Amino acid sequence: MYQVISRFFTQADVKSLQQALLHSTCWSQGQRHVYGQTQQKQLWAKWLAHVGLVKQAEPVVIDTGAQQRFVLYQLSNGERSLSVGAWLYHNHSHIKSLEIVLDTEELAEFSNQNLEQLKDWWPSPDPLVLSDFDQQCHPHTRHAVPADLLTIKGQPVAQLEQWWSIWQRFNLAAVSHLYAADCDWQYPSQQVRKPADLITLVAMMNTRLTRSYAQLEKILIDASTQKKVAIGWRIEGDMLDNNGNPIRVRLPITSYLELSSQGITKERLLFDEAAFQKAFAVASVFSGNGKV
Amino acid sequence: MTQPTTSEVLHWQTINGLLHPTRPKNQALVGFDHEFVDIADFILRITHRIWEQKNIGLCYDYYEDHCPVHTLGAYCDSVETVVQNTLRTIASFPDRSLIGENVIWSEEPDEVYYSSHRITSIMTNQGPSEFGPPTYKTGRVTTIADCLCKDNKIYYEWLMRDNSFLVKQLGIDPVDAAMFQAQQQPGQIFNHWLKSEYQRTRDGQAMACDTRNTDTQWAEFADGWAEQIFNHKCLNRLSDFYHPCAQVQWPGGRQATGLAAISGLLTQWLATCPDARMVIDHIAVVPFDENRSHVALRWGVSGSYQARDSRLKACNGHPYYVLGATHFELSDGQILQEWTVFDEVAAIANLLRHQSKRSED
Repeated sequence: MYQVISRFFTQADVKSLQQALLHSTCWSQGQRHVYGQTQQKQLWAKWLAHVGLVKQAEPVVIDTGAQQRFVLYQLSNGERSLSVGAWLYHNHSHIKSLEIVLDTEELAEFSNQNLEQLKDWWPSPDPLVLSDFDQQCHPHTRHAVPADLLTIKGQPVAQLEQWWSIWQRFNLAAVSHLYAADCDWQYPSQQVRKPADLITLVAMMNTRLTRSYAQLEKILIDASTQKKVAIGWRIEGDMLDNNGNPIRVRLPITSYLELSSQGITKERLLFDEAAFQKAFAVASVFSGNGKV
Repeated sequence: MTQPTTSEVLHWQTINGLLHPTRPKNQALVGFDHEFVDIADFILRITHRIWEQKNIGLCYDYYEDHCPVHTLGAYCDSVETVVQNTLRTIASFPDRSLIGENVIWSEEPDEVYYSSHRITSIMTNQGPSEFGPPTYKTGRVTTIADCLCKDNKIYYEWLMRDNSFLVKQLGIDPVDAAMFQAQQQPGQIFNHWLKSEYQRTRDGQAMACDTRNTDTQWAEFADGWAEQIFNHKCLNRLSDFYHPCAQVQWPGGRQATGLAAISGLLTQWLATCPDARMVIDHIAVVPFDENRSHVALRWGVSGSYQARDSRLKACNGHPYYVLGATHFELSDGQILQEWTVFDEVAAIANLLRHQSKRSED
């Protein structure tokens, strides 16, 4: 079903896309759930009005062999490229839910537009209430780990457990031995070229975001290779808003990993800081100037 | 390969397939029109005809003349009032769409069917409504409608709508909406119902009208959930019920994933009613696929209100009652997803009316 999304990007094939959706299909984008053709048509129209038709390289597809799929589309307009992630729940004839993940800042550069204007057409997030909670990993409390979401066992699970401990348990020592020497890191607006950069980035995040807590949501692993993995997760914590008031915030993140016996060979972190900053009126969660 | 369940067929059905079902009749449906193949089909099609095709007069065909309808904000018991209320809602929100998310049902004694229908509505506020003047904004709202059906008609209904989430999208503060609603008097029958439901729940008495499914396994699960989490406040027991990555949607935009966040959500809500007592009044369970089941609960909570919002401090200690419904998706005895719906605006309006009455006395 992921091809209908491709045809929308490259041919504006709205008809095929509509036919692939159910009356009850939920389209999520930037923490906003959109239902029904009236609302969905608005999203598509705005995309086509601002971005237009694009070319597309072969997407990365994580096929679980079941009804969940993750697709990383690589769009190009001849000058720049843009990554768009999509979490699909489908039954081969229809899509029941679709979650689009992209970086608005990257989109602004891609479409040669002003970021502030682009933020205006990005759907406003749902008025969520983030209830405060105890973020501590007490010895006897249960906290989700990758094994809770995987049916496979072995090396991929062990690597994912280590990877998750970096974000959930602040286990920064894992960084130095978990990544392959030639790992290809791609983080939005962040330059990560070596393990030390990643350690700085995670540490930076933990200084800006206090009482933080990382929560796993979903993991898809490619059924045939067991090398490609997509992980949906979120960080919640306290930040000061632009007026200096403490508020609770949530940043949804999608991680794409490629695994080998040498460790993680590729990591793509997808999140939308611009949408996050718009939703909560806060500064960057990772750094002051967007660069490590 | 096993045959898909009715629930799974409906999950993947196109709107055309929902309106023209091709699956064979799979329930007796004595007294129902022959066109309906099961109770989910009956509920989905009549909802579409009344609300989306705007054939409001069909309420006369599909509701009993005397049909009690309970919400946390009002009571009516005549089909005439159902028609008038439906018309008024459509006038206020002319483009209201009703997207059926799920129907969970149970077969009750005496050819009665119980259905719990979860609906997502998208609607634009174009006219005066129960929340005030029109805002011309579009909102999304989750509703769970629990109905007792017999002989091709709904004869009893409990309606739960997440109005606090809706009004936020319309640009209205939920407390302001409650203050506006509190100016309306819902009538003596409603007041009597609210008082008696509060007391019944306080006493831990489940509904007496025998609508409770007797599936022991699920009844124990639901009772354990109510007892451990809501009545005993043992939030360390959440892992007995929820998957570590469970996703929970609660009224007003409360949304949590994982045990820590769910614990926080429930702690914050229970703090507004620290002596809360929950009673489960109905359970329906349907299989979804080989691994998953869908469960619908209708419940009540009563206790003493303790305001977290300073504007409501005067209501502290007042009797607080919530009529709610919850849908679970379960796998291996653990909740993967939860949708809980109640009308927080109406619950606050009831507190404000109580406060106003006390001030007058």
